[in-house]
Amino acid sequence: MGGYKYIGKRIPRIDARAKVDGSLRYPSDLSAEGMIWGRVLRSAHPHARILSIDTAEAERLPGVVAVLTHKDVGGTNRFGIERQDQPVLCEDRVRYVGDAVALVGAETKEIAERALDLIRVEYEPLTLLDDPRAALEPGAVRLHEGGNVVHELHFTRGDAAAGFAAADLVVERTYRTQMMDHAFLECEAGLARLGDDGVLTVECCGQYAFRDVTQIARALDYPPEKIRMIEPYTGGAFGGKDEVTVQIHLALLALKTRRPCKIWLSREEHFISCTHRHPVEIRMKTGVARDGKLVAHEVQALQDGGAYASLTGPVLCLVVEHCCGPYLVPNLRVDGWAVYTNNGMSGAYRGFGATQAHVAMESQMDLLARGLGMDPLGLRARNVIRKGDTFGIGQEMVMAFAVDKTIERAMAHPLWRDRERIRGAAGDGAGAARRWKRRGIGVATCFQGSGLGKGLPDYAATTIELAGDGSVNLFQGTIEIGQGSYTGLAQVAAEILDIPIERITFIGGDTGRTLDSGTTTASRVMYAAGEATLRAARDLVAKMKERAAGPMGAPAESLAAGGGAIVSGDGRRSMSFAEIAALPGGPIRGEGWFHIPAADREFSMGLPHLVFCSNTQIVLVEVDTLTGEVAVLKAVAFPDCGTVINPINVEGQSEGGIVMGIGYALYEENVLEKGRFMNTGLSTYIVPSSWEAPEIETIPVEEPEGTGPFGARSVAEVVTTPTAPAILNAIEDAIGIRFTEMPVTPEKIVAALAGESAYRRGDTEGTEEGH
Amino acid sequence: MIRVGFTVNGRSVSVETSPTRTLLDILREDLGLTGTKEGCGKGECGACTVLMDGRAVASCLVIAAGLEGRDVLTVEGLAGDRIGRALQDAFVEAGAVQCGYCIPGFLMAARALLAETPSPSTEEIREGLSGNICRCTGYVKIFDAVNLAARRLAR
Repeated sequence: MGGYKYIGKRIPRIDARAKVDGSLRYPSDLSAEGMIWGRVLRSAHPHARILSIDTAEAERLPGVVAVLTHKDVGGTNRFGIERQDQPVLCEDRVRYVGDAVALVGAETKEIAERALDLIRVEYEPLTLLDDPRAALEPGAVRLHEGGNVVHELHFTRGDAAAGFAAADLVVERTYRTQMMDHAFLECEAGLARLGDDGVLTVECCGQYAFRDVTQIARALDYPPEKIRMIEPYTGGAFGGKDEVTVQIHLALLALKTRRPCKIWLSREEHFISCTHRHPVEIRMKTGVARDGKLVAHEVQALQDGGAYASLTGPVLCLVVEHCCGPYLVPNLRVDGWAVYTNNGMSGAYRGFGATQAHVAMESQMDLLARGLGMDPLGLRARNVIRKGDTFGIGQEMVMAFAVDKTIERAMAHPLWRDRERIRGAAGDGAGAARRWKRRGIGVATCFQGSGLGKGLPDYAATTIELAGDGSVNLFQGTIEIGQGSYTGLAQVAAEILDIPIERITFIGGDTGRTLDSGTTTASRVMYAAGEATLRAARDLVAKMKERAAGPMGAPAESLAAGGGAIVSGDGRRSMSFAEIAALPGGPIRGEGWFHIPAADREFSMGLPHLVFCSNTQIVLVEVDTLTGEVAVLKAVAFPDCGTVINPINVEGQSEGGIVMGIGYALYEENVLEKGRFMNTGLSTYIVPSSWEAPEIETIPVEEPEGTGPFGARSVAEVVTTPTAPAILNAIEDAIGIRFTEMPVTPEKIVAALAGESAYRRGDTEGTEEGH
Repeated sequence: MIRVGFTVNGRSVSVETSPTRTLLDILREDLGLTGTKEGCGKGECGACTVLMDGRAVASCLVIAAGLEGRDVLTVEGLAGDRIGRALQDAFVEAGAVQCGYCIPGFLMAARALLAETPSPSTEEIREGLSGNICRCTGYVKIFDAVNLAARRLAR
C-alpha cells in the first residue's frame, strides 16, 4: 500500500494519552452536584409470580429519595433490541434472577444499598424452565404469551440424504458450547440529569446511542427529541453493552426525582443481569468424498436464549448462516431453534453465533481430515468459498473474500510446516524428564458477515467541520469501546485532508452533536463509518475548493488539498485551511453517508450478509497429562480484513481476540444451577491472566474491498472465532482425545485420560461411517 | 467518623470519613482522583491498583483506618515520576491501551515491578502483572510496553 501518509501506519491511538494519565472520563467516573445514587432490586427467584411489592419501609429510611416500581413507569415499560419483551421494572412476574423489580434513589450508595433490603416483595415461585430441550416440549411451562420459541429457521439445499449416501466418510457429533460472560473491566454505569428545559441527558455506557434514545422514549413515554445520549467511551463492551443496561433506569430516576442520578452496577449484579454468549447445542453430521470434497451437511442447533429476546433471534440467524464454515457444501439441511428459559439472559457477544457455529464445524473438519488421512489445512483449502460462489443457504459471495489466502499463508508458516518437529519438543526441550507433557498443533478457519445483514437499516454518517484555526472537528455517532476505531477513522480523514492527526478533534457518540451512524457492533465500524468518513472528508475538500476558488482566481476543479491548504494546479498559489475558514460565507461542513451493500433476497432477519471477513489461526498447545492443564504456547493468525488502516490496532484486536478465545476454550463458563448463577466474581469466573497469554503473531491478508475506505473491511469478530476450535483440534493432536464440550478444564482432561475411551473418537455419541 | 492524614502524589491530604471506607472510594469520591478504577471491588481484578509506601496494593481492599501517615501514588501522579513517565509513554507507543479502563492499574503494578526489578525477564513481567486483568489486549502489547520502558530507563 504505497504512497499513503496515514493509512497503514502505526499511529498511536488518539485517546491513549488521556487513558494513561487518568484524565479520560469513563461513564463510571461521572458525578454531578446534588447527585443521588440509584440501585436496582433484582429478582429473588429465577421464575415467580410477584404477589406484592411493599416499599414503605424503604421509603422511610433517611436519605432515600425515591423507591420506584412498575407503577411509576409511564410508557410501555418494555425494552429489547429486536422485540420489546423485557420489563424495565417487573409488574407481576419475574423470569430470571437479574429481572429488575424496584429502583431506589438515595443520597449515598450505602443508603441505596440498605434500602434494597427494606423493600418487601412477596413471590410465588413458578415452575422453573432451565433446560432448553424441555422448553420445546408441548406441556412445557410457557414463559411468554407467544410460547417458548424465540425464533426458528429451517433450510435445505440440494439433497442431504443423497449426499450422505454418496459420501465416503461421514462424521457425526454433538457439540455443547457454554454461556460466556463479556467480563469487560468497567461494569455498566452512567449519569442522567434533567434540564429545566425538560431535556434529559444520559451519559452512559452503550453501543448505539441513537437506539438508546428510542428505547428510553418508548419505555417511559418521553419525547425522543428531549432525550440526549452521550456515550463516547466505555471500559470494554464486546457486545455486552449493546442491549439496554442502565439507560432506562437512569432516565426514569432522573425524571421522577429531578435530581442528577448515577447508577453503577456491582460486578456481581453485572454477572447476573447482563446478556451473555448463548449456550448452543449443535449436532452436526458431515459427509465427505475420498478426494476431500464435502458432499453433505446436516445441522441441528438449539440455542438457549434465556428469559427475554434481546438479540437471540438474530444470533440464531448467524449460527445458521455460518454453520457450514467458509466452505462449499452442495447438500445441506439445517434446523435451528432458539428458545426462552429462566437461565439468565443471552444476547450479542463478539462473534454473534458465528463463534458457536465454528466451534462445531471446525471440529468436524478436523475429524474428517483425520478420517481421510488428509492435511487439515489441505482439506479446508479444497472446500473454500471463493468470490462468485453460491454457498451456505444460497447466498452469493460477491465482495472481496480471501479465506483461501489465509489458509495458503498458514500452510507456509513455520509453525505449520515444522509441526512434526515442534510437536516432538515437549517440555521445553527437557525431553525424557517431561514425558508427561504433550504438545499438539491445531488449526481453524472462520468467516463472518460484516454489518447487520439484509433487512436492517445499516448505514453510517460522518460530519467534518472546518474550525477557525484550520483544524477540523470530526463528528461520528459510533462508540469507542476499545477497538481503536476513532483513531482509524481519524487516519482516514487525515489522509484525504492531508493534515496531521493532531489537527483532528474527534467528537463521538453524542446524539446531540453527531449524526446517526448505526451500531458499534457486527464488525461494521471501520468499514461503514470509515467509508462515510472518507466521503465526508472529500465533501469538505470540495466545499473548501469552492469557497477558495474566487479569492484564488482559479476554477474549483483545478484546485487540490495538500499540506493543510488548498493549492492551485500549478502549485504556485495556495490558501491555508485557516485562511479559508476566515472567508465570508458561514461554516464549512463536509458530510458523508454510506449504506452497507445488502443482498437482493432476505432469508430471515439480518440474513444473509453480503460483506464477509475471514481468518485462519494456528495454535500450539502443551497438555500436562498429570494435572490436566492446557497451556497455549503460541498462536498465529491470518486475518482477512481488507486494507489495514492501522497495524497496531489490527494486531491489538487479534491478540485480544485470541486470548478471549483461550478463555472460551479452557476456562470460562457462567455456571447456572436451577436458574441461579454460581460464579459471580472474577475469582470464580476465570478469565485469562498474564500467565495464560501466549506468544502471538498476526499476519494480515490484505485483500482490498472496493466499497470500503482505501479497501478496508473489518476485523473485530473473526479475530476470536477460530481460537477455541483450533485449541480443541490441538488438544486432540496432543493427546488423541476429542472434546466436544467447552470449557476443557483440567478436570475434564484428567477424567478423559483416566477413562480415555469415553472421550475418544468413536465414543457413544460420535459415529464414523466408511463406505 | 475519623480524620486521617496521608500523602497522595506528594500532596498532604486530610479526610474525614467512616473508618471502613476504602481508599478507592476516598480517592475517587472525596479527592476527585477518578483515574484509579474499580473493576470488582473485591481485590480480584487489579484495576484499582495504587502504590502505598512503594508497594502495589488493591485500593478497594485498603480501609481508611489504616491510612494515617501513608504515602500513596496514583496514576495522576505518575507523570512526575521517572519510571512512571517512561511507562506512560511506552504504553501509548506500544499500543498497550485499548478500552484503557484497566490501564491505570497495570501502570501502577508495572511501576512497582520496575522499581524493584529494573530489567525484568518475560516471566518476571508476567508475575508482576498477574494480579491485573485486561480483557481487550491479550496482554502482548502490555508486555512489550513494560519491556520498552525498562530498556529506555536502562539507557
